[in-house]
Amino acid sequence: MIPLPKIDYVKPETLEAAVAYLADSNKQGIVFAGGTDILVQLKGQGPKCHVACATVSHEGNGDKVSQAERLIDIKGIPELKELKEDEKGSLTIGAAVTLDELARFCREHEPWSDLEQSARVIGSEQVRNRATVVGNICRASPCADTVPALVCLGAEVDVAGPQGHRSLLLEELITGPGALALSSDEIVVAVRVPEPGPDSALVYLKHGIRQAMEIAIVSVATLICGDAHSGVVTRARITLGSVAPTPIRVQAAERLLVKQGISRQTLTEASELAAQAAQPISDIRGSAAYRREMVKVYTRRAVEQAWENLK
Amino acid sequence: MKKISTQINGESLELEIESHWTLLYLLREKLQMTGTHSSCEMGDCGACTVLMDGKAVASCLVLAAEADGAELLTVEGLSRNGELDPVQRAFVKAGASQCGFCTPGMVMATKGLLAKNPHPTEDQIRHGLAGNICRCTGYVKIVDAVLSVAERDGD
Repeated sequence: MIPLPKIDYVKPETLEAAVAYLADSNKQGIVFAGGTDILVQLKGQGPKCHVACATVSHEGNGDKVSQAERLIDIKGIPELKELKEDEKGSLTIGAAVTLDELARFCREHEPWSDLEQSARVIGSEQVRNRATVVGNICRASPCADTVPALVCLGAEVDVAGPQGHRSLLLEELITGPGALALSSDEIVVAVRVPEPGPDSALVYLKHGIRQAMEIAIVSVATLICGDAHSGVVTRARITLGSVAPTPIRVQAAERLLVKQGISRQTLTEASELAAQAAQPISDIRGSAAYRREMVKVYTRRAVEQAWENLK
Repeated sequence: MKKISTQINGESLELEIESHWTLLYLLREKLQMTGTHSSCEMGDCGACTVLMDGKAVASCLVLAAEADGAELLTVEGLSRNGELDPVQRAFVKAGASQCGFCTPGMVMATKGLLAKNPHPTEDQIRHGLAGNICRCTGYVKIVDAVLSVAERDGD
């Protein structure tokens, strides 16, 4: 059997203890939640996603994992299992919440039904039963399936460290393939998602060859808020995955849709703007030119579908 | 060595493990429970599927240490008093096994799927078993087997 390197394992019961382990300079620790990526990386088979999607370098958390001497299992910290709406309707997804738990929550809670798809299309049942939403985010893979929709929704992450708590926008957290705007002794505690609101529709489309166990060639999430009858768009968000070092928003297209509404003409223009914003690479999954073309197709499809869902 | 308490197929066990052991390694190499198969060891093939607290997991991507306090069910724990589990019977009846290598993982993934959704459609079955690869590509009969349990024993 493929051996794992000899590595220490701890399971703190409080957030403070987890942060203390992270800050311990004697043994380099990494946060361990679902383990479905970290254990693959530790077995020495390399960071799969990065090979597929990285546009700049193959560094980042692949290195951090291979150098780790201690796994800090956060699943014993009760507050990290939190998955609930607050009084303002924002959703808190704790760092130990699995993809399966989020998918089921979304299916049972109407305001979040559009978010289910992002959690549902990752890996297999076996993976979704273990892998966490925050793990998917903190892997900082350009093709992370949960990120584009969460960015569209304006999600923030709560971060804890020796200096206390802070929060930052999800789109500011991910700085490159495998790279996060965190110091080594900080941990993402939760992702907080503002309620999309009744006059909004969120769509996530993932382009792959298979319908399951797939890494996106191109992915597009869009959030459209407005009134389909009067044709007014009050807010538009378009986020692309797998076509840049990080998931990227296409603000030029967002502005266009808000300014001019949704028509055949603006759909074409918005899709062109998305294709221009993409910085894809060629790899085993698709060429840069193909990816750019697919950005066009899927942006159009996603916005059309969201608009349709608003009706 | 670390001590863990775990329950495997209804039996409570106190075990000594190493931090870097996977659950799959513990089951096969230390407990000689070789019904759980080892293949890709990367979470891609599903051959090592077991239920952990009622949910299907790839035991190659779970640390033995994480089994502390958990309830595990492996393929060895399915039959009762010499009677096969309904899922196993359905696989036998449908001929859903060619070389048999993927079968324990398929059966355990099916148990996990039916626990969540007792009446899956064919599409839901195909998605639910997407993490299990059959090297003989005998998927049609596997899906037939699961459909027959879903229809007969769902309630």
